[in-house]
Amino acid sequence: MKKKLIYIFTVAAVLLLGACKKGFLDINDNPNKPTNVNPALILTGALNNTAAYTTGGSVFYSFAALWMNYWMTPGGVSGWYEERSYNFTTNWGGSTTLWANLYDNLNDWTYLETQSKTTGKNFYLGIAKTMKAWDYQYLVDFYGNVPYTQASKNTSFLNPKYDKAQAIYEDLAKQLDTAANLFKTATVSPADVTADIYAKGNLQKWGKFANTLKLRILLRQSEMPGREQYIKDEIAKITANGFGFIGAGDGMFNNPGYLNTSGKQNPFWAVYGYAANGEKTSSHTYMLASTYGMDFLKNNNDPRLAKFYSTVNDGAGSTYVSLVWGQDVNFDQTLTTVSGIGKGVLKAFNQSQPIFTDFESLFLQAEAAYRGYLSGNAETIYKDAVSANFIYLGLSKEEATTYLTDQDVAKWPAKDSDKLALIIKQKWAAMNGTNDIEPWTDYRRLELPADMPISIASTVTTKKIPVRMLYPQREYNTNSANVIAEGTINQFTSRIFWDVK
Amino acid sequence: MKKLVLCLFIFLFCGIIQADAQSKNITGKVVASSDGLPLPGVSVRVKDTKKATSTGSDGKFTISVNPNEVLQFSYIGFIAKEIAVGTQSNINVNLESDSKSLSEVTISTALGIKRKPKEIGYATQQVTGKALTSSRPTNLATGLSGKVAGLQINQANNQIDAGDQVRVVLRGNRSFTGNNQALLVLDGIIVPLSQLNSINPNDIENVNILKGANAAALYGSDASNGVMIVSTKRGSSDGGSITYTNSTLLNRLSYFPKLQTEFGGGTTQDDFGFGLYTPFENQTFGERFDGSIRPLGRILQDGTYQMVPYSYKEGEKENFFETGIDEQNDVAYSGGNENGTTYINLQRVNSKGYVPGDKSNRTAIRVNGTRKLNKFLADYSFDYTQRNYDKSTNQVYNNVINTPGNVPLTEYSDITSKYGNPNDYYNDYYQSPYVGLQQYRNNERRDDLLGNVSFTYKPVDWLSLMARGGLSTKNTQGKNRNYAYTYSDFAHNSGKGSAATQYTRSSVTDYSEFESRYTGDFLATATKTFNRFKFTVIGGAQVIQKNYKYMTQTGNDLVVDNLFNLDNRTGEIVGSENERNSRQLGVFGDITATYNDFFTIHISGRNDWDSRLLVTNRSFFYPAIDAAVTLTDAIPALKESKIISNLKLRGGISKVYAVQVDPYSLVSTLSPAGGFPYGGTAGYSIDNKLLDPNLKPEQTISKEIGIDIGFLNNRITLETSAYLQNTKDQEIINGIDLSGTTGYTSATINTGEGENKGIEFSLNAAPVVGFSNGFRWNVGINYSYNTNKVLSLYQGQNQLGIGDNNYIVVGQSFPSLQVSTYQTDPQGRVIVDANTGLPLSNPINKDFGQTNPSHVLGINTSFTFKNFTLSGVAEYRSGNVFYNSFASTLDFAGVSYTSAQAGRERFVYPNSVIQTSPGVFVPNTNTTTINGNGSFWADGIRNNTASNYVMSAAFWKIRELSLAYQVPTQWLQSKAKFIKNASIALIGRNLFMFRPSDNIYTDPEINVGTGNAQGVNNLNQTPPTRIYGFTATIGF
Repeated sequence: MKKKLIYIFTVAAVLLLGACKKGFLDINDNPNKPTNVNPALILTGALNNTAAYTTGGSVFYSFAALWMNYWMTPGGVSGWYEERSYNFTTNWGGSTTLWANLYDNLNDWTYLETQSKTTGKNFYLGIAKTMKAWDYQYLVDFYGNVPYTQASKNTSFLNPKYDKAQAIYEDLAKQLDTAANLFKTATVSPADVTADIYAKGNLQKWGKFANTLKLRILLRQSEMPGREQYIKDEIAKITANGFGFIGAGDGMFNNPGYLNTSGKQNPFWAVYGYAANGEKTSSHTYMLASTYGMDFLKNNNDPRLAKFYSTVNDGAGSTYVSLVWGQDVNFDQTLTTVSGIGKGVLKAFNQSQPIFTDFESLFLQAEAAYRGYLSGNAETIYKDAVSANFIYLGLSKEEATTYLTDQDVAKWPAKDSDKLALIIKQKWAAMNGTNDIEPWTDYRRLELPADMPISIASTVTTKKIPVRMLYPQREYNTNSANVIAEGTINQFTSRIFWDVK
Repeated sequence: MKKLVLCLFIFLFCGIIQADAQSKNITGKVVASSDGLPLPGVSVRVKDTKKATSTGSDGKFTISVNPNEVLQFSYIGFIAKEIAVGTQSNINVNLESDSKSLSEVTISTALGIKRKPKEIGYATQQVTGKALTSSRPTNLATGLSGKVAGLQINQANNQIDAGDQVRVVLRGNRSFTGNNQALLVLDGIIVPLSQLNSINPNDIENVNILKGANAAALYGSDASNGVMIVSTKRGSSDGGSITYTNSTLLNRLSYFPKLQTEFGGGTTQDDFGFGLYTPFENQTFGERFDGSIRPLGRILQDGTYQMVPYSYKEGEKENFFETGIDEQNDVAYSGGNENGTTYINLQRVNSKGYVPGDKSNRTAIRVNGTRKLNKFLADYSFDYTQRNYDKSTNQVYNNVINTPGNVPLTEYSDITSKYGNPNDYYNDYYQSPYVGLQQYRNNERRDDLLGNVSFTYKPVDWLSLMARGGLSTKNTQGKNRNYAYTYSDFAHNSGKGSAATQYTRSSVTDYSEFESRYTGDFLATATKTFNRFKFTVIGGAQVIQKNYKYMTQTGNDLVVDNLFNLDNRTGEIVGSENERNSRQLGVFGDITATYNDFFTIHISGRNDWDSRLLVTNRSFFYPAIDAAVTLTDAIPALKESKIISNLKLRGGISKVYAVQVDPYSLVSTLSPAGGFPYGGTAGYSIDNKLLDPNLKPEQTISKEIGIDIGFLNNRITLETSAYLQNTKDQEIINGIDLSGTTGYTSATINTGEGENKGIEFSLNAAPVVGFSNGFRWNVGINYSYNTNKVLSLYQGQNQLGIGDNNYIVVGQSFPSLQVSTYQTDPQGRVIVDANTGLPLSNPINKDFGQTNPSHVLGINTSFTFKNFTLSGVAEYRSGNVFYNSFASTLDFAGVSYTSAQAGRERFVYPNSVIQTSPGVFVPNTNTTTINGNGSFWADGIRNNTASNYVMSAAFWKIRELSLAYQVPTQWLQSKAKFIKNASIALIGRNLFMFRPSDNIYTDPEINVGTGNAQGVNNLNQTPPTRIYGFTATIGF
């Protein structure tokens, strides 16, 4: 008995000591998440995130669609207080979400840029540079001075300093030149074709995209005194690389293979359209037609009316009804009695998400031609732009031609000073529901369309459309010295550097 | 199972009948010789037999013996006595108190090592099973509240069987973001704190609380927060007994927030700002109640309306909640002899929640035993518990409390009734709470198995070798069901908001969770005495493995309505999986040296290896030393003292390392980017959390000193402690906040230091002496003061948010509450806009102070008179604030009491000022708020300013009251011999609460969670309850 017991204890002790042997404690490899993946997967993920965070993201519409009078929302139970009153704080979702999303996306792009520089993968490098420029252009347009040179460098700079907005813009222009030149020589593997969910490895498309993005960046600065020569020099560099700009039918779209499953639908559709089971989302129900936006179509026999807006009762009715932006609305007046978002922009759960549409590009080129930055005929390009918008919405070129010929609001004016107003107003009309931030930015830059109504909500204290976002509260908490150095920011007076009008 | 119980009964009856055949009855009374008071619970046994009984509350006993037998009387703290029976039929016994009595008591310390109080150099406190269960708590945590100085227990939620939602902290918070909750040790084996709810309170022999890190160095990292050592009952070695206990407890919603009773439903106002009645509105900004009969809800399909009086319906919301019932039945068998013991307990608890339709049950069996074989001792305990829950996942509290006061809510309980069905329910925006309860259900089954087996072998009398294996597993399987519903065309087309979606399809979620912990210990203990020196040397090793796995799958838009199977879904399965595995190894040594039985020095050291850290950081060593001297033994003059019977000084210092992070917290990860995979297309994105491969364990240095004094034969005892704990290299689990511009939003690193200090007093006394009628009064007072401070955080950052408005702020107690507030002038008056009269919001959050109480006072007392015992526990806490975030919803909905204080009219904001020029503030006497109705109370300026809902969290609570009656032993002997003892008690828990008058909302203890962030509630916790009922025990 005694022997047996001593034996048991010995075994127990040996087992315990045996546990000490090498390997017993080496069980800390993550079974849940990868710590490293093929860069192609990051490319795909980041491209899709850019779409979901910018033109496909709810926040690109939640305030801009209202301020630009495409849509309005009844407010009701104290909802949309900030949007309706223009009074917002550093904690408002508009201020915080854009910042958080864009810098999150930039981390992936910066990682891909660094990675592909090391491996000499020029296709990825070009995309990373282009997409970084895309994100940063929005950051500057929303916030002005932002961290750039020290951003996305994790532990190297835990408190990144803020760079001057104009300096960032100038560097973006350079980066886009580099990107376009990379696209000229890059090689694309079959795997890259799969990973590139924007252009399927089409280098021409990427070159045009980079060039058009650069054109947009340059045009932003159109009103700045003494900037004309810089813009012309930079455009000369674009012309030199030979890719040209996004033309009719060349638009850049994202489609990873959207599915009709919660979380996998087209992001714009998922928020402003219908759930996987076909039911209207709440945002679809709350976003109603704004009178200014609808009347422009209604009063000018514009066939796009039926595309941008639904008839009452979400298309089940026969009339188009709108509400004035900011009016307090009885709860009965919901989507049942007022028009909502139309089928021209809400096409299907798997609709490709527009990143850079051909009509936006054409409107930009029309403006550039009008200003003499580009050699083309501004009128022709303008008409192409309107036509491209009709076609995107599912209308015909003929309908566009009729509209352009018959309607005074679309006719190319004789007076030179009216031309810009026409281009911008028609650009505003066209951009409804594909990128509502750009018209807001044009409005800030040019004060056009000049008759853009202000919210009539009783909570409005400053009768002015904000000219920027506030830095997010999180920045004041985590990078306070740098953000405080930017001074007191006011959404009505602290303009972005290109906003000089 | 029933059969087994029956067999036990039969066996028992046979035994009794046999015993009766050859003996006579002896009665008697046992008293203490010092004061002549009767002694209850004295063990009376017949020498060399299994026959035994114990004295009743009056000190009396009855036992059947043969004239030639000898009776033994023994009682803790008294010298045992033997008396030959002879011809006597009535024996009165005087027991002498044993001056050395304290040395007889042993305390279970680390790894189950029993030590005398004299030898312990750190603070411990013991709660006996009896003290614990006097008010029949259904879980252990609630039973410990107020009974231990420095122990703070918060019941966060009152959902049915919400025993898991308990936070248990000893001596306040040390770690900023890591675990601060006490370690739970069950029969020597570490088990997860969540098992607290699995341990049947009736199985508990006692709970020893080792308050500091010092006491626990031997348990390893996990013990830096103090330890609760729970020992379950072993069978008694004197024959067999069976105890049956029933307790039936009712619980009823209490501490409902104060609500306004003047205004009815509505959201719009007339041109003068007066509210208009909207019959289908859930906000309560309508007209003043006038008692008229008005329509409620929209017009029905048949063209009629529901007509109700437009007046406040008293008690309607309270009556929505039912009376919950917990019915608990226990049968325990305890038996054994010199060679072994067995303890078996079967338990069944049936619970009905106070939320209509919620129910649960719990079935548990515990088998504990010991077996002796020469120099070999086996000890085992197994506990299997199965629980079944059937509850709603719909948080109806929000819905119920927001219902306008004129709505006859309880009339809608039948959801097929004319006005109660979803189509015709009055409210346009929310479903009826009764529908919510029935449409969203959860079923869960949880199986817990706890067990341990130890083998001790004593080859020679000074050496003991022990090997022990323990496991605890928790296995949860659950299913959430969301039922389908189709609204009628009429309701759908009427514009009714909740019917906007005409056909809601059903969905199902299945989940499973597995958690296990295996522990292996090897321990060698040597005890030797050399003259006046006694040495105990322990060496040992420990291995621990923890595994965790969680899986969930959801199927949406089920094809066949309400067939809750994943295969019946449309679209993809949405699922996730999470697994965690870790291992720890430890070796330790422990030396105790005692000189002349009054001076003890104790040194321990342990080295751990932890799989969660990189190989270069995973080994760490931590030592501890403590000493105790009993002056009453050491100094002859004190030894003779009639007043001071015990005086012990103690002190200790220890260092403990703790790994706070979960496994896999060293290398940053990537996750599928939003929405991926789309069919065959995958995409990844870098996660936002930066991880540090060189993470080190968190270090706590803990120092404590204390004095224990006993007066008048230890009739009054006072234990005091003071401690200081410094925790540095804090592991910031959820990460230091980083600017998103770095590419990451948080970084898990070692940084920062916190200091935590406090004092504790524990006074126990039997103040009333000398009443020969048996009146006794015992009182225990436990007081603790704890304060902590953030000494440093991270590079220039002076604060860190840990969620729920809780922050770690340099130079302040942690965590502290920060919320949005109004702009104030230097005198603290609210600045209002000169034009609108509305308070101006301040973009910078204000700090309101700590969310953990600094003062905790617990008082427990009992009065015994004849066979009655009245006992109670009261607790006071203060020094902290809490944020009633749910009150913001009350204001928003217009049901809050405050929102009707100004009569729903424009008013001058109280104690406000207007800024006339920079820095010049003039009291506001006549600028009224531009709005007075919903547009003030619900439009952001009031309900989004959280400081409106922050207040002192102080309270006095009568935690428990019980009145117990012990059936006299003589009566049982004469009327029902087979019953050894019987008692019944009326009990109440949380009967009364006293709180500052501005707290018109709720019990501050109710909380969003059990993590470090405290002091915040919302409408997702079910509100506090009062519990009352009875318990009856019969012993055979």
